[in-house]
Amino acid sequence: MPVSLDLNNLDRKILNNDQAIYPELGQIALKKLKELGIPDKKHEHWRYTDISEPIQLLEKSLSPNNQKSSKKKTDRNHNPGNIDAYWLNISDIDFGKNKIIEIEGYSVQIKCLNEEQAIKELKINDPLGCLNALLTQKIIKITIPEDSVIEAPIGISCVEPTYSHKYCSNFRFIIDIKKNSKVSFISFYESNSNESHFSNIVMQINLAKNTETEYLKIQNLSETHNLIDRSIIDLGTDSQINYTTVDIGSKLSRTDVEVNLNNEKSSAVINGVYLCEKNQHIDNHIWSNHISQSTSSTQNFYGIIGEKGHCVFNGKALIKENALETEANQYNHNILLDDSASVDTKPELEIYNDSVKCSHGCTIGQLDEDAIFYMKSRGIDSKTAKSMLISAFVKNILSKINIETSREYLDELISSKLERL
Amino acid sequence: MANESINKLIGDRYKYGFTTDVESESFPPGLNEDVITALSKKKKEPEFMLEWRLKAYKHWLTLEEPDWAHIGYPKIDYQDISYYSAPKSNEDKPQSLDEVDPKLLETYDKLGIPLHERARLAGVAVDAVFDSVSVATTFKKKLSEAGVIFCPFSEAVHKYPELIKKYLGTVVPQRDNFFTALNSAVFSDGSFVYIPKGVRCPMELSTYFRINAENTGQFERTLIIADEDSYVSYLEGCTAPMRDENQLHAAVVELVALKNAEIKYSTVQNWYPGDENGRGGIYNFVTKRGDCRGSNSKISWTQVETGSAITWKYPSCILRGDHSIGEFYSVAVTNNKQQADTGTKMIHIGKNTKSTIVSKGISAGAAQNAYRGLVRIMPQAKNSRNHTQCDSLLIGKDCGAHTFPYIEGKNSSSIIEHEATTSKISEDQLFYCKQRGIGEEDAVNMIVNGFCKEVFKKLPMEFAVEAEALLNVSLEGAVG
Amino acid sequence: MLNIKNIHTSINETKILNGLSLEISPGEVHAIMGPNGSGKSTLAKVLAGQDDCEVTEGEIQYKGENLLDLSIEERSREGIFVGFQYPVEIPGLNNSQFLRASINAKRKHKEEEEMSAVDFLKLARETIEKLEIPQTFLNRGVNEGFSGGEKKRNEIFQMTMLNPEIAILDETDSGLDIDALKIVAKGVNEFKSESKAIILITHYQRLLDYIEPDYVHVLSNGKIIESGDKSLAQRLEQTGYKDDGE
Repeated sequence: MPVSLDLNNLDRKILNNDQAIYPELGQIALKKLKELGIPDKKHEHWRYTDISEPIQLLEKSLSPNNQKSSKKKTDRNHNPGNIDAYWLNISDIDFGKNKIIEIEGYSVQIKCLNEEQAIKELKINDPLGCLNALLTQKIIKITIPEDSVIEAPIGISCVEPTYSHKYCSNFRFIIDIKKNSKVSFISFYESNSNESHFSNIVMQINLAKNTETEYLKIQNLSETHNLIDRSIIDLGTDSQINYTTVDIGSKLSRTDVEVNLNNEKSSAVINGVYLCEKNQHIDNHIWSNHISQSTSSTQNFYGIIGEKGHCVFNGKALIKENALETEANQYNHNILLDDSASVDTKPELEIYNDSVKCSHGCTIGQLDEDAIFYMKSRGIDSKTAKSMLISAFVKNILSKINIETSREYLDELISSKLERL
Repeated sequence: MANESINKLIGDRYKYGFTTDVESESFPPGLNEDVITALSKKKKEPEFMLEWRLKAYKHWLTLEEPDWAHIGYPKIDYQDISYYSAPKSNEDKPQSLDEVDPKLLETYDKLGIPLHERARLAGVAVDAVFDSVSVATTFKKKLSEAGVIFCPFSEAVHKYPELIKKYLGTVVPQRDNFFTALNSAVFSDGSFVYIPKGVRCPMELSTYFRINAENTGQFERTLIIADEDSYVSYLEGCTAPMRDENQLHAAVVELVALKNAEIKYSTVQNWYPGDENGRGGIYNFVTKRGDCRGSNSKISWTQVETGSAITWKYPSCILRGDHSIGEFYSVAVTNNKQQADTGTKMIHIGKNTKSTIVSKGISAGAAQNAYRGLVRIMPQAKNSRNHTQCDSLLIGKDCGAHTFPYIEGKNSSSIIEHEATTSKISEDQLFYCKQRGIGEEDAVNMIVNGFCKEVFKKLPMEFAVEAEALLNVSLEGAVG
Repeated sequence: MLNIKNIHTSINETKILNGLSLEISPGEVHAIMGPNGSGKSTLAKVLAGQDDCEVTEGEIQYKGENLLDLSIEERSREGIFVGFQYPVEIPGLNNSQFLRASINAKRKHKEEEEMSAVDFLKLARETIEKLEIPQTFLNRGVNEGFSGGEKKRNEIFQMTMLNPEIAILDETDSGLDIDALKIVAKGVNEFKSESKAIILITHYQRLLDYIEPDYVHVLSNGKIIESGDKSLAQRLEQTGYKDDGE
């Protein structure tokens, strides 16, 4: 299916539809979008992922007869998965307003940016990010003050579709972590209906000097839901992030993580686990841009692909001329459970200086037959043996998540998904 | 590492830089249907060849030069290239070595291939291509006794039109890419090999290509067919004299292995790489592909790429037959301002097919060296295997090494493993060697040779020695 | 208990066992010796039920049932334990999780109540202590990064925990130093009882100094060519396999 979106009429359509919350920003984004174009399979970063359905949904959301649903859902006390965290309620923060919440004695500021602030803060460098900026109705900035050490995770829940965004929603979050802080986040995606929907999310995460951030994304959307989620992570001196994406649901889920190791001694671990079946399409694109020296990045992605599932991994470590003493590693391991499953993986290295240590490894295979035999010889039936092996396989990633309160939920989520594989 | 030493090594001059003073008969620069018709006529080709060329040309006109490779170069003006150049004395074809222009023989001599002597001593038949026309073919008799056909492509067009019609363009279609379309339209000459059923080719077949005249693109076309249960090992060596102008080289090599057949294709490519400032050097845009058409067939590519200003080359295997095997062993060395974007494609179609990729990239000076590979296991290619190892070695702070592997698995009974590492030459190893009294340059050569060993040992003996020597020459000055 | 009658097997069309017969009763310890390639390990594989060992002729009765009709896991649950020569590594899956699944699979099969995590851990800790294995064993991946000796001890640990009726130990002594050998032998000797049978498959007589067999059989070219008591093993140690057999 060819991807088509008439960019020339796009701004008019948005205006007509009363959707332009950030008109000036929208113009900037549209200009950039016209340069970049809507990506199709000829675009290197989209060669394995067809986004014609999300784009159609986006177009549909712009049609004048896309009436907003009248019933307003209250997500006030929503606590996804009963995970113990400070779940933020973003729906009651209005345009240009902000509020302070106290978490463990630290004042965390949550603000809905106005246009001027948005233009200043937004990073738009890819077509989907442009569409997001063009159509976004809320840009939420969360600021963690200096010297905060917050134990409990801060939760951002996206239950889609929300009352006001039928077919397509475009949220953008900016997480600003000031120096010497340590904090953890959970972003949670789930669906509350089986209507076709496209969520186009951008997450900008800025880590100041000497900060430590744990970030966990859990995606358990319904099988009619499309998600394109782009995280842009900028790392300050001596800062580190441990990012994990857990992809379970959705029809199409694309995760882009752009990590900019702009400052000395910054480091990033970007991990992911994906369980994919029944015409699902899960795509992870991870870029580690090593710009400054003594930086390190690791990418670990483990996937299980069942019947008619299709997964994509594209990891890239770019090491610039001045990024001396860099270490970069990428690993992608896939297990195909069915002949109709497929995976396309592309671990790339682009290196422009000689003071580096880089490696990548990837495998596509099946469960170890010898291990299954061994387990059977100890009385364990084949189905249990397989599921134990799969659990052990995904545990390589799950064990690296440092948010204790999520553990129980994740174990349950994964085992119930495995039942279906 | 000391910088002076790096610079000293980099400063090494190209040893094979000289021009043979032979009167050439060339077409004026330019490309159109008339040029192609004249070229075909000049070569007294049958009608079907001209039609084939014109068809390719028409398609070429609709294409754009690819820009996805990790290389940069000024735009090539295809109207500024002469598409035919032949040594004049060739009008009366030499019947034996004695009749060959002594200047030509001298050229080969300088290259280190004393034709008759080497041929006699090593038992190698050499189909030497000087610019565009084959000038000498030896050991024809012995080969013909075995039923092996080994002759210039232009001769095969006349003598074996049925084989040409049957196989030409079936592995690398005219329309495959920009350069194959161009080659199909204007190819000058090349080698043709046919190994009949059940024949193990009695000697290694070898061709030395050479670009000589100024501003002539060289467009070889090689076709090798190994019929059922046959075996052939083919060696290809390339060296070019020093030129300031960039010269285009867009060859096509097609290999067909039928049931139980094996083709081993080895290349040592040492075209002129340009000077240390990136002036001159060959643009090498080559499409090489082998088709394991029959079951249990095997195609093995081994390449040592040390030359050319630009290398754009992906010798590939289509593993169509069940139980067929594809191999790719590569050493690519870039120094100064050289750029290489090279690798392979392994397309698994048959069941129980197996492929191995070993790629060693060495980048020095201000060079850029990229591995680009595709491994695709189709849904029907059950129980297939691929193992890829690609390692890069960086020498000097201004060079680049890149890895772009595309890995596509489409069934659940196959296994694909890919590993890659990139690092600079180990200070510990260097220190250890030096502590044992080995000079820095020697130490680097030893370490680099060790790094490449896995590939070198796949080369036929006489090539392996040459390859090691070439590697040392290419890297001279690269280390300090 | 176990009655092997004239079995012939082939692996990938190569004949390995060639008319092997053997009868084993509870309380007995049988040692099967023989040179490399005589088919010793194949016997263990056949009893475990490995798919690539095809039994082309003969039958095996176990507790009055046709063993060859049972799947690998059914055999295990029915009390057959094979200690492997080269136990596979399963990275990421920890030993105690694995073993508990195994024990409970057997219990479920016997319609017994599953063992709780607490009871399991208690039993595992006691057993592991007796076998002089470090407690950390339990939390490591199954055989993951284990030395040869550790893998063998882990097999004996599993045997003790699973408490089978018949244990077939394939080259359990290979790769062990003398201290480890003693620990393994101790485990086997403690397992030995009136109701259990043991088959020791070994290349060397050394193990038999520590675990006394009731019967010794010499396997050559896929069948038993000689049987005797413990003294046969000692004789073999002196003369080697060459003089026997052919």
